[in-house]
Amino acid sequence: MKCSKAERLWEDWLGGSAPPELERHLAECPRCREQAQALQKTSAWLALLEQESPELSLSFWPRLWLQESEAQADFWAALAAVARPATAALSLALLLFLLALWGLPQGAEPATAVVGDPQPYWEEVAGADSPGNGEPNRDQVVLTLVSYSEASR
Amino acid sequence: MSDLRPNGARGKVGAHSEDEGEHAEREPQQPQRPERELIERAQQGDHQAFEVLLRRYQRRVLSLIARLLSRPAEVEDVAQQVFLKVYLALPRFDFRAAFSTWLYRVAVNECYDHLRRQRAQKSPGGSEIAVGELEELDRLAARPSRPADDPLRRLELRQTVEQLLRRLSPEDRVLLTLKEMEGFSTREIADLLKLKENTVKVRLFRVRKRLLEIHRRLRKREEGRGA
Ligand SMILES: [Zn+2]
Repeated sequence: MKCSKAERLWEDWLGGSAPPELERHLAECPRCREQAQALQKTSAWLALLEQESPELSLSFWPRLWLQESEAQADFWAALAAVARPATAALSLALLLFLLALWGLPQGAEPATAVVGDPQPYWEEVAGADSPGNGEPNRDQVVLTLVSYSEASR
Repeated sequence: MSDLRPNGARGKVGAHSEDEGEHAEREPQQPQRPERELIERAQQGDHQAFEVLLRRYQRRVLSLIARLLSRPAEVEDVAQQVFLKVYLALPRFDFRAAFSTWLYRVAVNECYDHLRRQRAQKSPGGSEIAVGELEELDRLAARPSRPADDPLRRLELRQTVEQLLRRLSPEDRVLLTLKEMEGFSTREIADLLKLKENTVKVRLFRVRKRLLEIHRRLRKREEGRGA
C-alpha cells in the first residue's frame, strides 16, 4: 500500500475500524506511524472540550412565536407590494375582457362570479386605494410598481 | 438515507418516533405521538405540535450550536433563527429525508453563516496562548485517558484547544466538531453536508493536519518569544 492511500483510511483507523492493509503498512512505514500518532492527538484535544448541553430560557418559545408573527407580517407586506401592481394588471385584463364581451353579439354571459367576488385579501392587507377602481393606464401601473419597489426597500 | 436521530451512545434525548420504518425503536415507558403526525400538524400552523416535535431534538441541536460557536451568549439567538427557519420552511418538507437530517442541516448552515459573519468582523488572532499549554497538548496523546487532573489546568488546556479551533476556517471547524464532539459518523456527516463519504474522510484528515500545523506554528512562535 502507498502512503497516499492512507488519506481516506485514517478516519476509520481513528475510529478503530481500519482495514488490515493499513495496519500492515503502519508496521513497516515509520512516516505513517508518526502521522497516526499526530492524528490521535487531535482526537485527544477535542475530547477535552466536553461541555454540558445548554438549556433554553423560559422566554425562548414566546420570543420565537413573536418573531414568527413578525416574519409572517413581513411576508404579507412583501406580497401586498407585489400584488397591488398585479391587481392593477388583473383589473385591466378584466376590463378589456368585459369590453370585448360587450362588442360580441348578445348571448354571452358576463362572468358575474368574477365580478361579484369579495375584495381580494391582498387589498385588505395593503389597505388604501385600490388601483382596480377606475381605469388604470400604463403610467399608473408603472408608477405603482416604482413606488412599491421603493417602499419595500 | 441514514437517520441522525440521537442514539443511545450520544443522546440523553429519547427522540424515537414510532413511524419510521424498519428500524423504529419503541420507547418502553411512554407512548409518543408519531413524528409524522406532529410534522403534518406543524405544517398546518399548529404551534404546539411544532414545540413538541422540536423538544425531541432540542438538546442535540443546542449542543451542536454551542460547540460550533463556543460562545454561550449567542447560542440561544442562533437556535431561535434555526427553529424559525425550520418552522417557516416546514410546509415544504416532503418527508424524503429524515426530519432530523433536515433539522441538523439547517442548524449547521446557520452556524456557518454565523461563524463567517464573526470572522468578517474581526480576526481570531490576538489572544495569548501560553507555551506551557501547547507543550502539554503535545504530550496529551501519550496519556489521553487522564489529561490534567487539576480542574484549573484542565480549563486552561480546554481554552487552548478552543483557541486552536478558532483559527480553523468555519468549514473545517464544523466538520471536526461534528465528528469529534457530536459523535456523527462520517456517513451521517456526508448526508448532512450532501457530500460523498470518502470526501468527508479525506477532508477530516486534512482538517486534523491543519490543526496540528496551527499548533506547531503557535508553539514555535511562543517558544521564540520566550527565548
Ligand atoms: Zn506510509
